[in-house]
Amino acid sequence: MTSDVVIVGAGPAGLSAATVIAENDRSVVVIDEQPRPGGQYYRQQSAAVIATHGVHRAEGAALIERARRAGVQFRSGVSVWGVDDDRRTLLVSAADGTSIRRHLAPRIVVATGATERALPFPGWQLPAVTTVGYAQHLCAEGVRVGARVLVAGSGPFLLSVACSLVGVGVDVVAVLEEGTPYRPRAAGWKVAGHPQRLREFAAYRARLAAARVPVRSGRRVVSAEETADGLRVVEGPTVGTGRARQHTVDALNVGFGFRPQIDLLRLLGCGTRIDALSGDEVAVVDVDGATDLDGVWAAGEVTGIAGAPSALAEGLVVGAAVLRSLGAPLPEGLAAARRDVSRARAFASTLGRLYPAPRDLAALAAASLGDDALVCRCESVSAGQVRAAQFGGTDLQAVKAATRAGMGLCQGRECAPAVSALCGSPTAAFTVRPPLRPILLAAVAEHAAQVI
Amino acid sequence: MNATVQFRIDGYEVSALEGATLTAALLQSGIRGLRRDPVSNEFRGAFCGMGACFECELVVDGRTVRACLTPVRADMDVRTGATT
Amino acid sequence: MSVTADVLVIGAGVLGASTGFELARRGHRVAVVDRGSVSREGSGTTAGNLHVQAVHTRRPGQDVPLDARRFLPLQKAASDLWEAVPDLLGIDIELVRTGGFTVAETAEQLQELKLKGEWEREFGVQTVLMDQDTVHDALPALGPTVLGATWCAEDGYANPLLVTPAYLNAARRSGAQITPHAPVTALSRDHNGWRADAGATQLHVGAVVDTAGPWLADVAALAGVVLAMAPLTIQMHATTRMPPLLRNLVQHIGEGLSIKQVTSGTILIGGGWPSGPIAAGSRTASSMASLMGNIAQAVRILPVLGQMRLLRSWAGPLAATPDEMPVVGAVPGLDDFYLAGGTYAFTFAPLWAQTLADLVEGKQPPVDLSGLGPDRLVIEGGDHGQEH
Ligand SMILES: Cc1cc2nc3c(=O)[nH]c(=O)nc-3n(C[C@H](O)[C@H](O)[C@H](O)COP(=O)(O)OP(=O)(O)OC[C@H]3O[C@@H](n4cnc5c(N)ncnc54)[C@H](O)[C@@H]3O)c2cc1C
Ligand SMILES: Cc1cc2nc3c(=O)[nH]c(=O)nc-3n(C[C@H](O)[C@H](O)[C@H](O)COP(=O)(O)OP(=O)(O)OC[C@H]3O[C@@H](n4cnc5c(N)ncnc54)[C@H](O)[C@@H]3O)c2cc1C
Repeated sequence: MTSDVVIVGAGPAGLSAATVIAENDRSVVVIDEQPRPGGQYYRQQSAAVIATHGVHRAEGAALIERARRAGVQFRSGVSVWGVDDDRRTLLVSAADGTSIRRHLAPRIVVATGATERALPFPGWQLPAVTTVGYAQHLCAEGVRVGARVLVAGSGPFLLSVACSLVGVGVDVVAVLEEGTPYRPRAAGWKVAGHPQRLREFAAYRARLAAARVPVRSGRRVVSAEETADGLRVVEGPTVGTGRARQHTVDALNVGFGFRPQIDLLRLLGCGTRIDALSGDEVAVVDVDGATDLDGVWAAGEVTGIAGAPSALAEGLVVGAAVLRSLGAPLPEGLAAARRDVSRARAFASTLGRLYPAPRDLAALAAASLGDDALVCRCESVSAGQVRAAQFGGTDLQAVKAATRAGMGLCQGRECAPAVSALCGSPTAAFTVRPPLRPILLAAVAEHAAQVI
Repeated sequence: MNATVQFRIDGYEVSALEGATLTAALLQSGIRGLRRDPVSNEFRGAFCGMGACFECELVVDGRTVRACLTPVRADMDVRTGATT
Repeated sequence: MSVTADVLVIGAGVLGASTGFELARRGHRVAVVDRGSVSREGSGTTAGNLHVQAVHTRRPGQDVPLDARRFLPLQKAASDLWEAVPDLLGIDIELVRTGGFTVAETAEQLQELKLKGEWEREFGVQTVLMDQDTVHDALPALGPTVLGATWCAEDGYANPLLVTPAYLNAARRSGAQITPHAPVTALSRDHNGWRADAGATQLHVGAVVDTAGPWLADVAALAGVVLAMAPLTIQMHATTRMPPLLRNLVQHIGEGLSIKQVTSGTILIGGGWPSGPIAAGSRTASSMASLMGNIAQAVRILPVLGQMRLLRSWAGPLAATPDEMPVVGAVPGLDDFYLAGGTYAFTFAPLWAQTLADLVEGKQPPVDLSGLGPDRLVIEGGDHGQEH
């Protein structure tokens, strides 16, 4: 299977890059392991779900339709799990790790987006605890994550999810924000200078106020526990002493922002850097989204967390750069897209400063954990085991070797921030190795028989 | 068009909108615990809902899949509680 | 900081750790230093097999076969020593001796099994030659291409992620000083011993033990001796956790292959398939050609593996010599300077620890070292940095 360009990730970034490339008559394949294009922000539902609950984010549906009309070929339900030794051929499988294929890609755009940052507290592994992102995905298909729900963590996304929950009739008992970004006249809100985005926030807050959902700043989840009546969640102050409160809910939704999903870039051998505020690994790209590897570009959240508008604009910028490398004329709207990218990034960093830095959130979560609390969900490694890891020092990989934290099914995607905070590692990034997703050995053997 | 399809969860007939996310359909059937963690043997359920955490793994038609990436199809056979 | 010790051990892999422990428990003041974190190179990536029956003769891409017969008395001695290791270390290192098969798929390979059996008898290593029916009865999961095998009840494995830290802990309890993140960058002769710069520390020691694994020759070069080593990288593959289904180690007589299920339930597949260029700190890239080749072969030998899921691959560096044999002994032309390294160093760890400790003490080592010394690797014209 070949095409001029392969894009991995069918979110706003991948979609907008694909569209501009296809509209300029170059062939594009977009691979995404989700069952339908859209990525996180433009997540789309099936026809039957749409018929019952309506379209979620119509502008996303329109963009996907436009991409299709321009000839973009979508390969949905397909995971990229490896990169062949030529560093150019992507190894893909069905999302369940079967039927391996290869995509030779002279030009690759990595638009793999972000995953949500999770931080542990006692009980975070219980089935009634989910991320806020998942709760919102459920809303988008008309399903309530629970009848009574507590939302907690940090970041502007909590407000947006709480509104979605209210929208589908969930009783949101409170939104707990670990920081204190909503103090009246907090300086950052003014300098943010993005009237439209700020109005969005005001609307969220108004909506929650109207629904009588309290937004409590400086408060966090202390623990969650299953009881006969539901999930019992204890909340307490972020710092110092203050009143503890208890809630009995059907679900607790937690979110601490997003982490770039750089695993594919790492397999390709692209340069990354460590973001000081989060300890996360971020793609290094130039103004065109080009990585340090010839023929490989990155767009969207994989290059740093700046929200969907930035991802859309970055997709266009990268699409233009790819077209230039293919000898095509510059597309329209490039200058505006560049402006949008820098405005969105500036807004994101101003906004980010209103909330606690991810590293501080992770450090607080780590410091609050008792020795028995679970840190690595997959391998059942406790905070005490990580603390007791000998000879590991602040070397995240050595701590992993000593404790098995990060060795399980999720390959450390969920526990990396907490483990790194517990051991004082300067990075929250475990080494990336193939396969990026578990694959069936029989499928590898079958594929090997074809290519060797 | 009949948008609702029948399928089985642990042997029980259930119905859901065709193409709905399997985790959503399970939740609507009141099921949150999806896999058993091999170390603790505890039940785990969909956590990230986007394919990253693998906590929603279960067995569909004999294959281990992430339920959050799996659309509901007619006649699929879903088994929860596998140790994955 | 300045430190005085009897012996400096350079490299905190399994050889440095076990040697540091052995010296410390014999009452020497020992300093073990590592350039990075401990147990992160060969010893943190190894398959951890204890090879007792004669080892397969070639990794993929290996030009020179090792001398399997010469290996056997060493394997036997190491195997005997491993028995006592868990008690000595005082923790569970997940050591199991559930036995292993070495399978053959061709008539020629069956011949090799027979020949190997003769050597094994000669050195008192107990193995049983099994024909096709017997081996399939013994391990029904084997695929139809397997025509026969040898069985050795002493083959086994231990968890390498536990072994090296356990040795270091035990060494520390016996008074050794363990210092990670202290790269040795200079070595010179000093009074009756050596002076070493290791990170921020200056050491004055009576003797130096070089167990720097893949960087063994680099450390020897600091002392002025040029050794011909041929370090390389090899690859491992791990499945998701599975319920118990394979009790034994499975190897291949004609190809690089080892398969076993470890305590966690994970199935580990290796066999010396090559990875990307050597890079310290786990930065060696996995090779997809090796991943596919190794997995395809494993599924052929044990078809039941086809239904398992590959979770992870990794690559690790290995100190190999041009003749594929271990290197252990005193370095010619240098006083009080000893080293050990080379292939199968995990299996040999307790043996090389005793050997090095004996050499430091001027005693007779437990095994015959003829043909294994560093002398065979010295490149003439190397400048001997020793000042007399
Ligand atoms: C539920 C949810 C709601 C959000 N809501 C907002 C919001 O309201 N406003 C906002 O600004 N931001 C929001 N975000 C943040 C959001 O991630 C981004 O703003 C936006 O989606 C980023 O676009 P992207 O194209 O960079 O990546 P994404 O939209 O994340 O798309 C990346 C895609 O790549 C795919 N992928 C990754 N790796 C592989 C692989 N190895 N093989 C195959 N496919 C792969 C993923 O499946 C995913 O579909 C939300 C995130 C989530 C999870
Ligand atoms: C993937 C793989 C599988 C293997 N499988 C087996 C097996 O099943 N059975 C078996 O018997 N053997 C096996 N081996 C071989 C064996 O495990 C290794 O050879 C052995 O662990 C090496 O131990 P070591 O102590 O010699 O070296 P290493 O563990 O590599 O340690 C050397 C140490 O020296 C340090 N160092 C280097 N330079 C300096 C310096 N200048 N200053 C200070 N420190 C320095 C390094 O940082 C490193 O920590 C395998 C090897 C690999 C890589």
